[in-house]
Amino acid sequence: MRKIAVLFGSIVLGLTSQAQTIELEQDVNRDTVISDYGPNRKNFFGTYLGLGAVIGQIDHDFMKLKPVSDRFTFGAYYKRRLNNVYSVLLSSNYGVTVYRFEVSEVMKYNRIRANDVNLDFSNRFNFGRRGNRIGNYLELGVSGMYIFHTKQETKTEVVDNAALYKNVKTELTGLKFIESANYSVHARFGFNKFAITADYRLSDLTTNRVDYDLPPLTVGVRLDLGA
Amino acid sequence: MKKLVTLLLIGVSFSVYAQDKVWVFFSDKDATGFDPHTFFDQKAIERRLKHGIDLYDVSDIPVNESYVSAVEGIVGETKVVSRWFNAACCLANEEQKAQLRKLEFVTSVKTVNPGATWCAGMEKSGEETGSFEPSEDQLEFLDAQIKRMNGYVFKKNKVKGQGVRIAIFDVGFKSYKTNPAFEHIRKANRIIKTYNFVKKKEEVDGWDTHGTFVMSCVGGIIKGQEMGLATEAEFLLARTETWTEFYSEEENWLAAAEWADQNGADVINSSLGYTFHRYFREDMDGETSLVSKAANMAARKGIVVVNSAGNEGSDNWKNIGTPADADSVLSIGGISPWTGIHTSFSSFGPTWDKRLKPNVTAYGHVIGSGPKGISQTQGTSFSGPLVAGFVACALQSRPAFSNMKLFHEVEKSGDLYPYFDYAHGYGVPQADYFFTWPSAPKPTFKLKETGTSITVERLDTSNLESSSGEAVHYTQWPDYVFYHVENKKNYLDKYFVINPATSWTDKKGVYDDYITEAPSPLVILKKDYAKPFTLRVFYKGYVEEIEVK
Repeated sequence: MRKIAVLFGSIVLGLTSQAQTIELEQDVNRDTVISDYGPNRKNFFGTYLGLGAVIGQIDHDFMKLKPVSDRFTFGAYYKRRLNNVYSVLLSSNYGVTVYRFEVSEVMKYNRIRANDVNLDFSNRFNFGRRGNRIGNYLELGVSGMYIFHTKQETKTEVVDNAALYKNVKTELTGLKFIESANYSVHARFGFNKFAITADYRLSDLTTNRVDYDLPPLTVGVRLDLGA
Repeated sequence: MKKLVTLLLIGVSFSVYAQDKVWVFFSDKDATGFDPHTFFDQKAIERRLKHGIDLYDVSDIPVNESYVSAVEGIVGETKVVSRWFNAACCLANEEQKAQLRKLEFVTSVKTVNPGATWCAGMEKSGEETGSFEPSEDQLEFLDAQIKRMNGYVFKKNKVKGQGVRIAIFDVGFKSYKTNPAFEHIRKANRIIKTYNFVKKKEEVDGWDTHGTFVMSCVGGIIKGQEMGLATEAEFLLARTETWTEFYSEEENWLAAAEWADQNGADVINSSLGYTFHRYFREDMDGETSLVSKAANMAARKGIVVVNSAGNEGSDNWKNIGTPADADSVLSIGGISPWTGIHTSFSSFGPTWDKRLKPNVTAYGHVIGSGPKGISQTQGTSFSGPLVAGFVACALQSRPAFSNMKLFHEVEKSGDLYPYFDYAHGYGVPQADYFFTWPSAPKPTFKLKETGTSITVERLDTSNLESSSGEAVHYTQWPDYVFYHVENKKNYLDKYFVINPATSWTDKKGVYDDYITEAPSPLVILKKDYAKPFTLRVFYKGYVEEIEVK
């Protein structure tokens, strides 16, 4: 009987309180719990965008790269803070690298596009105390890369006025002279959300089907997008 | 591979030779030749005498210059020298730190938190209209920001901050030399001193408009309309903030506080604050940051320190910044002129150690004056100066009060007092408290306790309004019920603002005809809170509490 009365009372109270609007409600205890999640807490997840440039040249008599071969990455990471100085990070990203080759006068472009996924392990060393923010750091680590799609594209202008077309485009996919699995080391200098990055591929990107390899060093910047 | 190694070496070298900011603390001072009457402004002397502070207090004696010279001989230059803490701040690498530690008069060398910081408590000032001719709407708004504090009561009693000296710390005071809002101040030569602690020179006209807006909310007048209450106060203007040198704000704040003390400031207004860039929320205990220590020291010198609570209320940080966390700092939150209660961006209290903050509130949306004209702007940056002007007037009307007595009286003048919460503090301070405070408010509700609940039953409150229909001061809050639950450790677990019947608040509006039912009672269930607790309720100026065992 008592339970029924309490239930009935609660329903009545619930109905009467519907006319009231809560304009402000604050739970102090909930707000003052120390979270273990945050940019400078025990755990943190984040996402990032990276832009890089391939540095260096092909060691070959005829094949040469243009100065602007580039790489774009988008990824996510998990950071585990072990102490105020040292954290470990596990990161996965999707990347696209475009190697742009020098071309003759009639060829408008010749480029290799490689789409890949990466798994990174990094050691992050933060400098100095900071609040709940990323802070300044040096990060060193290794990466494994799997190239899942390759494409070589060319476009050549047809100089013969009698021809029925102006340009010839070619598109080769599944390039057999590109190694699918690669590994590299990396270093990053971070200033909160911005980082300068350098990745150095230790494995050859090309197989012995061609007599050159593509430059191993990519230098770029990274923007942390937060959680 | 060589390139990668080179990059790494550059990075490692950078970290090895990087300089840290350090404070070098000295063992003693040389009081020989120290004359407080020449060192301090006369007003600083008077403040010391009023507060019973020894004119030869060791913390007021300047740092031994030979010690500073010795430090500069090692590190090149010092950034800030503090007589209050008998220390000098400078940049030093590991080798220099070791040399500093070997000096016989150095007691310690402490590395300062070198994390970059922004002045997180600041809002950039609003869009300017390009005109100093206020519109009708702007004049109405300005009138409201004064009336909300019953500020015209000060004016009626000829209290406009005369003889009170207010120091404003900010990022820049662009156009203060020409701005029409300060013409009355300039004409009377009431800008006593200025100093740019970033550039180490006197010029503060420039860099940013934030300080200009802030100053207008302390004591500006535009076309005869007051923008703040202390229109006849004296001013010290200090530039302490910079958008580009991330490391120096707190040191500059300390230096400015010592300067303000030396130059006779009675009130400091600082619309500045520091949060997650260098601190965790658990650091907001009023003791951790340098700037909270500096603010407390300023209060110990008899200065009323007014600081904005911060604009993190709707961000992850949510809580007040520092130095608003310092116990002797009057921390000011913001309310919305439109909703009448806490405005969303205003940082919430309490401090990490559960002390009440903010202490009081004022409009967080104001009309201020910038270099190109007057405009509406927002931020607790502007609630703070509204209250700083109020404090100056309160101090003028109660000259015998010590700074901390005045601090508590300003809290008591809050129109929620003795009710409080961590969004509004004790409410908006009311000028009439310092003149003709009404007798105890009449009950506006009854608390009825049953075994499972407490009911707030509102009474007829029509008699609270004057014959002219004008509301008396404590009805400036909307017709809302404020209640909080205080635990046995004497801090709040929860607090609420309830609109007991939405239609009821519209009684003067378009819904007049639809009101047919009496307002429903507010029912609070005991099971929702850990016992024992105290339930305290505010409604239309009346406060009642009930203890639940």
